[in-house]
Amino acid sequence: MANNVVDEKKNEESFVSLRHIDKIYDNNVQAVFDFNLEIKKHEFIVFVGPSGCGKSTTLRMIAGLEDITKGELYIDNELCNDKTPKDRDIAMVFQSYALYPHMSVYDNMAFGLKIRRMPKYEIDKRVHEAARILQITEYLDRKPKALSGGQRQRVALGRAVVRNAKVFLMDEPLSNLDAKLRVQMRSEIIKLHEALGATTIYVTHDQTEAMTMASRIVVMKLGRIQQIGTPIEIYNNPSNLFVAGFIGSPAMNFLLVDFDEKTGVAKCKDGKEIKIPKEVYKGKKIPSKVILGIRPENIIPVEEGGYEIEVNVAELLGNEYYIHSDFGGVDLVAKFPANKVISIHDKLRIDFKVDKVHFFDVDTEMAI
Amino acid sequence: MKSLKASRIISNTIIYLILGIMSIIWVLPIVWIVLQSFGGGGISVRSQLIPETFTFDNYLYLFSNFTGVTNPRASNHSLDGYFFGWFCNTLIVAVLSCLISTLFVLGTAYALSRFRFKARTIFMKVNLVIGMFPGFLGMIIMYWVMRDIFHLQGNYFSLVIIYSAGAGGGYYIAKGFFDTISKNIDEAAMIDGASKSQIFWQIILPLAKPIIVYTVLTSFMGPWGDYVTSSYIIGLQNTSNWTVAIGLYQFTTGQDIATSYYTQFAAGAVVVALPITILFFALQKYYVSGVTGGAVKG
Repeated sequence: MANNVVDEKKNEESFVSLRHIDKIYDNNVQAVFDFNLEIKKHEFIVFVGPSGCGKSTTLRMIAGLEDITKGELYIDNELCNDKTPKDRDIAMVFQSYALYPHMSVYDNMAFGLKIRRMPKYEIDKRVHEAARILQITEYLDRKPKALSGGQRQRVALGRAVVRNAKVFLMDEPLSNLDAKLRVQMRSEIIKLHEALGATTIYVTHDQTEAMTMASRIVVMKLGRIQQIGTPIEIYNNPSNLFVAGFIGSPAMNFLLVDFDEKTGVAKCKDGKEIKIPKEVYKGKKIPSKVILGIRPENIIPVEEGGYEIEVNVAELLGNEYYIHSDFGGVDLVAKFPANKVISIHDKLRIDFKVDKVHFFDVDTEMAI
Repeated sequence: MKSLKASRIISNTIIYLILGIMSIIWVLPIVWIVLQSFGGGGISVRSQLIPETFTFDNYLYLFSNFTGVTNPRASNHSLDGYFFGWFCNTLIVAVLSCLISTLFVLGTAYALSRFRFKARTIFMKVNLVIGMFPGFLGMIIMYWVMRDIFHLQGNYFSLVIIYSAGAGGGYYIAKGFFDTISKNIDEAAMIDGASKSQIFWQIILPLAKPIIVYTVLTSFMGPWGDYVTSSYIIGLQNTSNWTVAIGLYQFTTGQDIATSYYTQFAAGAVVVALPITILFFALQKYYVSGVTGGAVKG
C-alpha cells in the first residue's frame, strides 16, 4: 500500500496544491495520512472511497472548516492553512443542501454577495444569470421549504455559482436525491462544469459518479490515497486490489491461483485451470501464488470449450444478466447479454478474455 | 365491536371526569381572586366565594393617586397611592432584565453549542453543579455587594443587575434548540463569507424564534413575580422603590393593614397577572414549539 502517490510533483500549473497533509482529530484519531495532490485549473477532481476513508475530511480541510494538522495547502499559489473559509474564495455545496430556511431562494443565493458588499445591480445580475442556467428563475421568491429535493440542490448549486469562486467544493451533493434525479443532476453538474470551467473537487462514495464525472479520480481508503488517475486509467490499470474491487460494477472477481510462469497455467483452488498467454505477463515477475483479477464484463458465454458452470443466481437488469456461480472457490460474477432466458441451476459454458486479467500480489495486494 | 365501543365510552367518561375535577381545582383560586377583587363591604368578605356587593373601587384604589379612591375599611393609609409606582418599577426591572438576560442566554447557548474551546465541558459541568444550589444562598453576599460595592441597595436597578448577571447559566434549553439546527448552515454561511456575529444575528437568530420567545417569556416572568430578592435588596423602608411583589405582600401582611386590604390585594393580583396572561396568549404558539424544540426539529 506504499505511496504510489509521489508522482504528484509540485508543478507550475497547479492551482490547488495539497502537500503532505495529515489530519489528526482531538481524540488522536488520524483521519488523513500524507495526502498529496496537485490540481490544475478547470479540472474536475473526484474523491471517492468508502465511508470513513477521509475524503470528506480532506474536502473540509480545503474549505477551511477543519484545521490542517500537518502539511501545506496552496490555492492559487497562496498558502491557505491559516486562512478563514471566507478568505479562501471557495464555494461549497453540502449533502444536506444547507440552505438558509428563512430566506427566499433569491436571498439564499444573494447572501454571500451581500456579505461581501457587492453593488445591488451586480448581485441582481448574477443571481438571475445563475437562476437562468439552473432553471430556477420561477422559484426565486419561494422559501426552500416549498421546493423539492432536486430544486433545493439546484439552489445550493446556484449559491455556489453566483460567487464565481476560485474553487468549487461539493460534498456528496447527490446522495439525498432519488436514483433517477441523481442521474439527471449528474449530467447537469457536468454541463455546468463545462460551461463555467470552475476548478471543482467533488466527494462521493459512488464509483459511478466518479467514473462519469471526473477528469481525474482520487481513490481513498482509511485516510490514504490509493490511486490518482483518469477514470479510464483507474479502470484499466488499478494499482491495487482495493481500487480494482472498488471501481467497476459489479466488482472485479478475484481468484487465488497457483501460477506456473513457464506454462502460463493458473490453477484455482478447485483445480480448474486457466491458461494465460505469455504476452499478457511478459516482463512481469509473477509469484507462484497470486491473485488473479477479472472483470465480470470480461467473462463471455461460449457454445463449446471454456468451463462449465451452474448458475446460482441470475439477476436480470433488462439488457443484461449478472450471473453468479461457484468457480475457483469464489462466487464468480459474469455479465452476460440478455438475449436468451437464463434461470437458476442452468448449466452454462463460459470463457475468460485472458488478455484482460490483472495480477495482484497476495501479501502487498499491489498490482503486478 | 359493541363491547369495544362501550369500553371506550367508559374510559373516556372517566378521563373527562378526572380532567374536569382537575381543571376546577386549577381554576378555582383564580376565580376566587377575581371575584374577591370586585368585592365590596366588610372585612368578612375573605371567607366568601361570592362577595355580598360588587364594586370597582378596589381597582380604583390601586391607582388612588389618580382616582382619589381610598379604602373605607382601613385605619392606616400608609400604602395609599403607591401601587402605580410599584407597577412601573416592576415593569422597568422586568423589561430591562428580560432584554439583557435574553441576550446573555442566547449568546451563551450559541457559543456552547457551536464553538469548541478549552474547558468547555468543565464549564458546563461546573455550571450544572452551581445551578443546583438554591439562589437565595447568595442572599447575604449579594446584599453586601450591592450595598458596599455598587451602592445600589434600595434601588431597583440593582435588581436588574442581579437578575441578568446570572442569566447565562440557564442556557440549557436554548443550547438544546441550537444543537438541532444543522451545523452545515453555519458552515455554508462561513463559506459565504459571514463572520461569527453575522451568522448569529442574520442566520441563526431568525431560525430560533421559538426559543427566543421562550427565553423572553421566562426571563420576564422571573423578575416580574420575584419577591425574595427584591424584598431584601430594596428593603421595606424604601416604599416608593418597591416592586409589586413587595407591595402586594404588604397588603396582606403589613402591620395594621393586613385584614383591611384584602380585596385591594386581590385586585392588585389580577392587575399583576394581566401582562403575563396577555404575553402568553400572544406568544403561546411559539412557546410550545420552543419547549419541545429540543426533541423535535423546529
